[in-house]
This record gives sequence, C-alpha cells and structure tokens, in this order.
Amino acid sequence: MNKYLILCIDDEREVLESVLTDLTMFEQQFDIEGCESVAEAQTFLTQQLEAGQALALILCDHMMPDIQGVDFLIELNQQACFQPTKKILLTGQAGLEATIEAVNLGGLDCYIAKPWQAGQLQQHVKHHLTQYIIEQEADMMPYAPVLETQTIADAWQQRRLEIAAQS
Amino acid sequence: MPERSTLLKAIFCTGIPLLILAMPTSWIPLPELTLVQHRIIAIFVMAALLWILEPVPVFATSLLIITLEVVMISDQGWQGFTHTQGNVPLGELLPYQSIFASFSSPIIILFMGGFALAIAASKYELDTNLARVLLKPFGNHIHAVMLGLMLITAVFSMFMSNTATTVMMLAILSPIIATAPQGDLGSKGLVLSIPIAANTGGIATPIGTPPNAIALQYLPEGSVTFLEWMMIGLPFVIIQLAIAWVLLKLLYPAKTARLPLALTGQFLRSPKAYIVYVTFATTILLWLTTQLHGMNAYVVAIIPLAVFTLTGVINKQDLKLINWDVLWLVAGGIAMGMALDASGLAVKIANNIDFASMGTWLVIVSLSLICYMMANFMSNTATANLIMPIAAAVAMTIPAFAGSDTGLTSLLMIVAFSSSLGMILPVSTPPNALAYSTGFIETKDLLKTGLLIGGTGLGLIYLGLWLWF
Repeated sequence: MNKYLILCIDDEREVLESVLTDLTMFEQQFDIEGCESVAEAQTFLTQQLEAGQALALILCDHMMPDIQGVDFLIELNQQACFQPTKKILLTGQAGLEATIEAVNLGGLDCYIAKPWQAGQLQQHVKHHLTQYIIEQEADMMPYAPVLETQTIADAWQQRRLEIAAQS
Repeated sequence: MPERSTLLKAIFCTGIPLLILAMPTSWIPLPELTLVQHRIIAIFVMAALLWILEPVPVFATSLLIITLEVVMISDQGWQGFTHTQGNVPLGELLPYQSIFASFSSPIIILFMGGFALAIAASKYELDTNLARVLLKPFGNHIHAVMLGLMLITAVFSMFMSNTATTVMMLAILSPIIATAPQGDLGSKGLVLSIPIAANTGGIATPIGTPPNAIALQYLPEGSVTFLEWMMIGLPFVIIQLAIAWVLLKLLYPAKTARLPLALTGQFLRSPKAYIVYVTFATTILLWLTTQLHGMNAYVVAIIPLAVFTLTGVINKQDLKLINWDVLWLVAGGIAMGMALDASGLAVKIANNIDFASMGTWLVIVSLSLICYMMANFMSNTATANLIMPIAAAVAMTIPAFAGSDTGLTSLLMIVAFSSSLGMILPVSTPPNALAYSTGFIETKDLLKTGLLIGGTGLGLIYLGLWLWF
C-alpha cells in the first residue's frame, strides 16, 4: 500500500475506467481507486483512513444519482482529515452557481470539463498532486520524478535548513 | 514491534552501567581507583551503549551525561554521592561550573558561527546562486558536470553544514536526473557524487564537520590553526575527490554524454544581502589569517553571529534553525572528555594498557579503524566524542610521541579524518540518508562506493603518516 491515495468517482463505468487509465502514470507512488457511487466512496475512504492511508486527490463527477459531486466535495472539505486533499470536479453539467459555491467554500481546487483530453487531465492532476506533496510530505523527493520535478526540487531546496536541522 | 526493541535496548544500556556502578570498586582492574573514577567509568559505558544502540536520540544521551556528572561527581552533587562511604577514597569531585561550561565551550561557539553563516547564506540565496554561477563554467558534458558538482559540494561543506549543502546540490541536480532514462547508470553516479563530496569536503577545515572541532578540543591551545588544519586537510580532500571522480566515472558509465543544465540565478542586491556577502567573505578570510591578527578560529566565529543578529539578517525565527541537537551532542562529548581527563581516569587507563609494547603503528591503525567502523553505523560526532578522549590519553603514553605535540596532533587528526570516512550506508551520514531518500540510488551503490572511498581514504592517511615520520 502506498502512503497516499487518489480516488475517482463516476457513476458511469466506462467513464470511470477511462479516467483510471489516464492516471496510470501516477500508480508507482500513489494507490489509484475508482468508486461508482459516493456511498461506496465513503465506505472505502473510512476503511483506508483506518489503515493509515491519506487521500491526496479526489476526482469527482458532478451529476450522480444520490448526491451532486460539488456537495460531496464541500462535505469532504469540512472534515479535517480531508481538508488538505486536492479536489477536482470532472463534469460537463455543473451549473455556474454550484461551482462558485464550491470554490468559495474551499471545496474545489480545479474544474475539468467533459469531454477531457488525457494530457490536460494528467497535467492538472500532476500539478495538484505536486502542491499536495509539497504541503504535506516532508520526505518529498521520491515523488519528484512522477510529479513536477522542478517545483518539488525547488521547494525542497527552500527547506534545506529545516531539513539539515532535523537530520 | 519497534517500541519493544527500543525498551529492551534502553534496559540493556542502563542495566550494564548500573551493574558496573554496583560492583565493588576493587573489582575493576585499575590501581588506586577512586569512587569518582568508578562512577565516570559507569557513565562512559552508558554513554557508549546509548550512542551506539540509540534507544534515545544522541543529543538526549549528551544531556544525560551532563546531568549525571553534575549529580554524581560534582562538588554540588547529591549528598549521598559527595561524601565517602566505606574505605574507598572518594577522589576529587569536579567543580560543577566546569561541567556546565561544556555548553559554552569555544567549540560550541565555533559551530554557532558556522551555523550563522549557513543560515544567512541560504536565507539570502548566496549558496544557491554561487553554486549555479560556479557550475556554469563546467559546461554540460556529464563528467565535467560531475566534477563541478563534486568540487562545489566539497567547498561548500567545508564552511557550511554538509547536510544543507547536500540538499541544495541534490535539488539542483534532480530535475535533470528525472528527465534522464530510468536506470541510467550515469544518473546514479551523479547523485552519488554529491554525498561523497559532502562527506569528504567536511574534512578540510576545523568547522567542516563536528569531529574535526572535537579533535581541536583535545589539542593544546593554538597547536593547530585553521590554516594549518587546511594545509593537511585540503590536499587530502582534493586527492580523495579525484579518486572518487575517477571511480564514479568507471563504475557508473553514462549513456548520454550531455546534460541539459538550466542554471539561472540572480544574486540578491538588497543592503542586507551585501552584508551577508561581505561578512561571509571576511569571516573566512579572518579564519585563514590568524597569524596576522591574533584572533583564533573561536574568537572569529562569534563575529558573524554578532553582525547578523544586529543587522537583522538573522532574526528570532531564524535562530531556531541552528542545529541545537548538534551543539548538545558536542557539549555532551566535551563533558565526557572533561570528566575522563580531569579525574585522571584517562591517563590511568592509558598507563595500564601497555600501548608502548604494541608499537606506535598498531595503536594508530587500530584507533583509526575502530573509529572508521563505528562511524559507518552511528553518528560521526558521537563516534568522535567516544574515541577522541581515549586517543588523546593514549597519545600521552606512546614513547614515540613524547616531547612534542606533533604526535598527539597527528593521532587526533587521523581519528577525526577516519570518522568522516564512514559512509557505506544510508544511515552513516545525513548526506547519505538524503541522497538515498531521493530514490535515485540504492543501498548497494552507497556500499560499493563507500567502501572504496573509505578504503582509499584510510590508505592515504597511513601513507601520509608513513612519509611524514
């Protein structure tokens, strides 16, 4: 088990599969999981949390039968353990108001419109994972090769005195 | 379960010294042993076990040494310890002030000065900008870049912390490495060159690494100046780096000869930045010119500290970046050495082991080998803390060393050098640990290069000694 988890939620099986395929480049350093409903995701997250795995990034569809993606992300953001998690909404249908609300409540880091390009999705995910690792992980260098290497190297260099004081 | 093994280690590390403490003084095979000396033996054994097995952090052990010394063997200690019971002489209690003085020993000030330079340099980006500027002339051929990286890393770690230098250089290097094909040996060689150069570079100056300063602590005042240390240390470092460079080229041949180095950097031009540049240069200059102005390395070291705090270059927050754990670790070693020396125990032990008949060479080589081996598995500073007082006492009993300080100086410098050569594992030194944490290299890489570099280093030391005497 990796230390960090990437979770994708989409009620359409094929869409979910395609998102997961696009993210395989991160699987060396992150566990990547897919859920077909928010309920399933919640159970899964509780279980992973107990196992000591942190949620680094969540990619969530908006229009789903039980709950809207935006609302779920806002709800997640209100729990301390998921506050640092990078939250991405992947949708073609979210209304402007719902999106604004999500951004204002801190529940949304990024909005990707469907249909998406693999390269664009990967770039957004890479960027937000990089930010997450810099904010959360002291031992960040092992993540540098798969993420934005220069950014992580610079952040590490910035912290060189703290690192020296701690080792 | 890690907690259980820690507990077992802690029990072992305190149990053995307690047994030593509990046994009658007459059981210890040293003549006319006093109670104070008996207690110091127990404290020393405990310190050695705790530093080697590390059930508690090494700096905590240091603090424990100082605490036990003031309680058990000082003139202001616990009543039960300051009065004789039975017929064993108590011996002379140590003044408590001199035990506490280890916290403010000149060595500690020397290191604070070094930390102040490092903090100021990195806060005002002097180190990173200088590194980029200096790296540029080496071009972009992989072997030239490696040479550049090694020279810059080594020079920086002579005056700054080896660890901070390693982070800085690895951060410059890793974006290039990350774009190289996976498993390219050349990349590994580049990453390895940095911890090797950082570990090696520290040898060149008294402030390069704590073991050097600890060696100075046991030498008569003024017997080795900053410059004199460098005149021996620097050639050694240069030869070692040259060997390491050739070895890395041979062991890690690169597939791609060219490296796309993107070296951009702008020196800061604020008044405070200029204060940092000038103070940094002046301090190093003053360190090198003791003969001209009379101020020794310790006195010079406090000057940058005063300049930086007065000008606001180093503020209250930055003070927290001083490696207090290193200072405490060194202070504990000083207190240990002081107790061994002031109680007469060190000389008593040295006199009772027949070093003279072992031959000068055997003594030197075994001390340096013990030191080298310990340093591979534990903190170099803790190693020096343990071995240096013993080496200093042994030196006094070697007939070939009698009559001059040269023998003592060479022995202690050899011990200091040897402790910096221990670099075969990720845990051997912080630079190794950091390079390993990047994920670009494996333990076997460190093992292979560490053994070779350590071997040539030890060989070089003995060769130098043989040519000298």
